[in-house]
Amino acid sequence: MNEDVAGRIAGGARIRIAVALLACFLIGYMLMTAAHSANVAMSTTLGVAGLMLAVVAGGSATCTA
Amino acid sequence: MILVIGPLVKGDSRQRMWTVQVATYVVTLIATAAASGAVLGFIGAQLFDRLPAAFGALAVLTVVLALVEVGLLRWHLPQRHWQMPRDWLRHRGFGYPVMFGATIGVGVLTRAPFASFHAMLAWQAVMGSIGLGALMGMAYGVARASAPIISAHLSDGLGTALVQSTWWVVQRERVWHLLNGISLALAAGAIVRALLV
Repeated sequence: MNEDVAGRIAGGARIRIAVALLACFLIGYMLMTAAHSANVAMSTTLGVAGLMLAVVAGGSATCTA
Repeated sequence: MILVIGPLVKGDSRQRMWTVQVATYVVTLIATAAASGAVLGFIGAQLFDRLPAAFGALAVLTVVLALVEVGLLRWHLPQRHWQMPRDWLRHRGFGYPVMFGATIGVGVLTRAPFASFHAMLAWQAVMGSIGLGALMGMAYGVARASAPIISAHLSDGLGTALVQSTWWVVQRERVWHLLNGISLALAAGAIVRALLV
C-alpha cells in the first residue's frame, strides 16, 4: 500500500477514534447529570463507575497470557 | 496466564479435589483483591480526604489513560513484567491455588497492560472509602477469576482448544484496549461532571 494512503487511513481512523472517545466522555457526563437530577448521591454514582472500571480491569486481565 | 492456571482447573482428575482447588483459588483471589482495595481506600482517606484537587487529578489521569488505551497518546504504563513460575505447581493441595490467587489478587505483582487497572487503583485511593475500595477489589477479583475458569471449562482443560481460545483472546488485544478506552472515557465524563456540581 502507498505510504501516503496508509497515513491518510491511519489519520482518518485516529479522528474517528477521537470522536468516539469524546462521545463516550459526553455520555458519561450526561449519565452523571441524569443521576444528579434524580437526586442520586454523587458518591453512589462514582462508586458505580468505579465498579464498572473494576470489572473491565479484571476481565481485560485475561489477555495477560 | 491462562495456560499457567489451566492445570489448576483440570490438573486433578478427582472432581472433588478439583472443585476445592478452584474454590480456594477464587476465594483467595477475591479476598486478596478486596483487601488490597480496602488498604488503598484507607491510605486514600488519610492522604486525600476527598480533596477536590485529588478528584481533579483523577479526572485528568482517567482522560490521559483513555487516550493511551485507544492509541492517541503514548505512555508506557507502570507494570511488572513478571509471571508466576510454573514451579509453583509443585505445591500440591491448597498450596498453589492460594499462591496463584493471592499473587493475581494483589494485581500489581504481575503484568498490567490495560490502563483500566491503573485507573481502578487511583479510583480506589481518591474515593477514600475502605468499603468501596474493597467492593471494587471484589468486582475486579470476580471478573479476573471468572474468565480463565470459563475458558478452561469450555475448552475441557488443557489442550488444543484451550490454547486456541487463549490465542483468540490475545489476538484481539486491540479490541480490549478500545473497550478499556471507552470505559475510561465514560468514567472520565462522570468524574468531570461530579467536579462541577
